[in-house]
Amino acid sequence: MVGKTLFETLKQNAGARWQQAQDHAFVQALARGDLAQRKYVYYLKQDYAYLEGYSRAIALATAKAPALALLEQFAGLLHETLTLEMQLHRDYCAEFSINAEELTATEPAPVCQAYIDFCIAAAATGDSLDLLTALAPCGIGYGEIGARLIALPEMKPSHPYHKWAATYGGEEYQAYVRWMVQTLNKLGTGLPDERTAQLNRYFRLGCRYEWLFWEMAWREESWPL
Amino acid sequence: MATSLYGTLKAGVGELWAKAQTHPFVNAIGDGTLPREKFAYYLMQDHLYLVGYSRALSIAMAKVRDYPWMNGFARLVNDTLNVEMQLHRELCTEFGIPSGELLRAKPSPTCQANIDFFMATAAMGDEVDLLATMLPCEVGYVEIGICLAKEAAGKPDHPYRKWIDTYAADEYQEFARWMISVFNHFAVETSDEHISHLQHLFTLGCRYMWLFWEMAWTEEQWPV
Repeated sequence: MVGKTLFETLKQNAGARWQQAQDHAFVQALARGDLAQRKYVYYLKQDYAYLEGYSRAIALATAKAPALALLEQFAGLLHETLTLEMQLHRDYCAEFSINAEELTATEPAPVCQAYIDFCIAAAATGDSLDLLTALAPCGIGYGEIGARLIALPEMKPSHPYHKWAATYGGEEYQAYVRWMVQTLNKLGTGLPDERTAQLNRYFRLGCRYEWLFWEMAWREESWPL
Repeated sequence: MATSLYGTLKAGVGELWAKAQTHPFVNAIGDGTLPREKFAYYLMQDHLYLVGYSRALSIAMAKVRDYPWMNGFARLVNDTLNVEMQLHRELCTEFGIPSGELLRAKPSPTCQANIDFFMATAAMGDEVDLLATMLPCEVGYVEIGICLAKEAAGKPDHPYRKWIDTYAADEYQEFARWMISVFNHFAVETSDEHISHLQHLFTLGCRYMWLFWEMAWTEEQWPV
């Protein structure tokens, strides 16, 4: 563990789970451009509901930020989520004739509900570092997918999911990914083993939920009753 | 005569209530055919569930508006941590689960979701919201206990008698009645919008109760 950053430690401890989310069939279909529109619409609606929960979790973490500079940065991340990311969802849905009311009225599916509650519980009971760690598989993971997709030769403006790739692969989002990694590593220096174990647990759960979210969208999951 | 808010919410979930009461896992406890390993799995997850439940109640207790009610919440947290969970630990020993294994257990997907549902509600809402999430389970267990106690009556060798007797016991029934009265008391000035939200929370609570039985029945694991 000597010389490893917190982010490197977390990723290593999560084993295959990080890559499994990156390589999910849903993501592969998105990259190829042959993802069925109904699966994409299902995903957009659930992701919109998730982003509202994710935003509330960031808001809780913002309040708990130990330093003013960090408070400002968390507030910036919150603003970016509510505007850049959620606008992407609204734009795509408008293209598919789904209006903002229908979007907002979406009932979270089981995995979406669980993921939202995980983020909020982490933010409520932990500190900024706990929350950043819990959100990292999502925040940083999406950055990795976006960067990979936007660089694909087939990712031309005519590609059906070009806007998605351009959002997460674009400089504004990538700047936040760099900030998340830097902040994790800065706050995560010199931690006792017990603290790192707790963070590993949050990160591993976040990775699991990332994979489960893609799987939920791939199967268009609903409540069994 | 006005229906209590609890009665309204229960009516609002329709058949969902009965489904959570009659899951195959519950039926198998009742007729004694539940495989031991499924019951052991359930005990370990329920132990973790009760920890989460206690933490969420503690957050709600800090928010309770009137001081006298804090006492009731504090007693409930104490009874859960030191009485109900003690029963779990004893049952675990009886069913061959070493205490070390119980303490090392990690939440399954459904258990994790259920705990985080309580924690998120406790953090973001008020005591009425949290009670709405918990009532389906608290009252549901009493109804199950009473029903299964009838089935297990006169069968001294019933393998799950101790568990059934806990939830059929007078103290537990009294506890359920108290929870309903606390909920109705707190919910008296609730707006229509809040009632709609409470129905949503109560429905989720019922869903999670069924899902918890299903989790134990299938000995659910994380897929990744």
